[in-house]
Amino acid sequence: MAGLGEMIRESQIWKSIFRHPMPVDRRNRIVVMLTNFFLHLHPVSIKKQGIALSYTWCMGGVTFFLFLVETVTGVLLMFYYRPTVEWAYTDIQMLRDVHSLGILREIHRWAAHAMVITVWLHMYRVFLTGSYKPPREFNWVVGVLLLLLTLLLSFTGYLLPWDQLAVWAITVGSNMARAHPFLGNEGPGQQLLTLGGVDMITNASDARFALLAARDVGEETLNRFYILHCIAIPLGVALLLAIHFWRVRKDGGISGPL
Amino acid sequence: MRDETIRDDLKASPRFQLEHQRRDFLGMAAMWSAASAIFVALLGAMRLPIPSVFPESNSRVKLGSVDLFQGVAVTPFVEQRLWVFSDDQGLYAISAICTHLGCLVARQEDGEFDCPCHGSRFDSQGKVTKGPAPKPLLRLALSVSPDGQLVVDRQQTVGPEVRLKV
Repeated sequence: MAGLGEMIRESQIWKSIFRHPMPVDRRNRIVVMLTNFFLHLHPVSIKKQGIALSYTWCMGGVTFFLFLVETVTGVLLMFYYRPTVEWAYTDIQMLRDVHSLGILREIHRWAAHAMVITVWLHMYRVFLTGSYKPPREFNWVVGVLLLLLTLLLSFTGYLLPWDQLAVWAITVGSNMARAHPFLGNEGPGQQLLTLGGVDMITNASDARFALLAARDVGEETLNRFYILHCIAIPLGVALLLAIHFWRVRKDGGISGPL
Repeated sequence: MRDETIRDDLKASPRFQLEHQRRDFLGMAAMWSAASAIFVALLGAMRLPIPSVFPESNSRVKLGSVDLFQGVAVTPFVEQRLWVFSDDQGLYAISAICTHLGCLVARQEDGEFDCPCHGSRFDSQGKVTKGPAPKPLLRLALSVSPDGQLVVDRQQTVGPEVRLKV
């Protein structure tokens, strides 16, 4: 057996993937970190208290784990879901009543709720430990953007079951955008944006209209929310996550107890 | 690298410096052209989220022959989300869309309107009797088409005193 292991480790295929010896000494353990794509965002070594559960609560890690759960279950759900007025509601019911792995939808939903909670708790921990202070203030801003995208993911995902709760929740939620300053047709500053007496911000050009692609929640809204939920927002989250993790390392690792 | 091989007296000559400025100018012009082209293209792309054609049905809808509404106190239109009322002064239409956050209000037995989402209440004329709705229910503009049909415009509102006299 030892000979077989030796043969594998000496093969060209193995060596093309792992370009260093076994991590048995300190130098090679560092090289493993530095040459691994998935580990390169992380520091080579961290302080012991940096992973103390009582200090970090691991809420950032749990949030990232839940994001991965959402990605995997979300991709599988996309195989069974058609974002049209004709099929959306039926497809969700089929997940419950027909498909054998329909429980993926429940996992997707519960993980989404949990992710909103853990991302808030992560923010709360960072605030309590003062980890938003220099030199980490930019990473706090990235974190706030990630919080917004998490909430937007929840908001856009809410419409997709296309039941009464979904339609009216999005009706109510998007109507709040009407009151947004300058961007909503009933918000303050709307009168300032007129050209030759014609309002620029109307119910057919304001933030709500851009969100819904119509004056009311309809088929176009379903399509738009589906694309935002499955492609646009997750791509933005993935990009910001990479920056977020990278900056944790570059700003000196997880902050220590005060 | 090439600069190192050029003699200092040559570098100092006016012709050499001119050549360098010209090359820098061309390079920067190319870069700024590309940057402004990308900027303008992005501006154009910002137009895309606003569709050119409204997906919803026309805001002006024929509701039926105008004679049908004479003397009928109230006629509901579920699809159009409104009621047409008739009193001794004429016809008027009240929208069913709550002025708070857009839910559909329900007309009760006593003629008042209740919103199921946040508990707003309106009297039989659409005036707010209980918040959080900030404004009375919208009155929609009514007109008569040339073929004698009652037409409602769901994008055009009128005051509470306006009646369509037939």
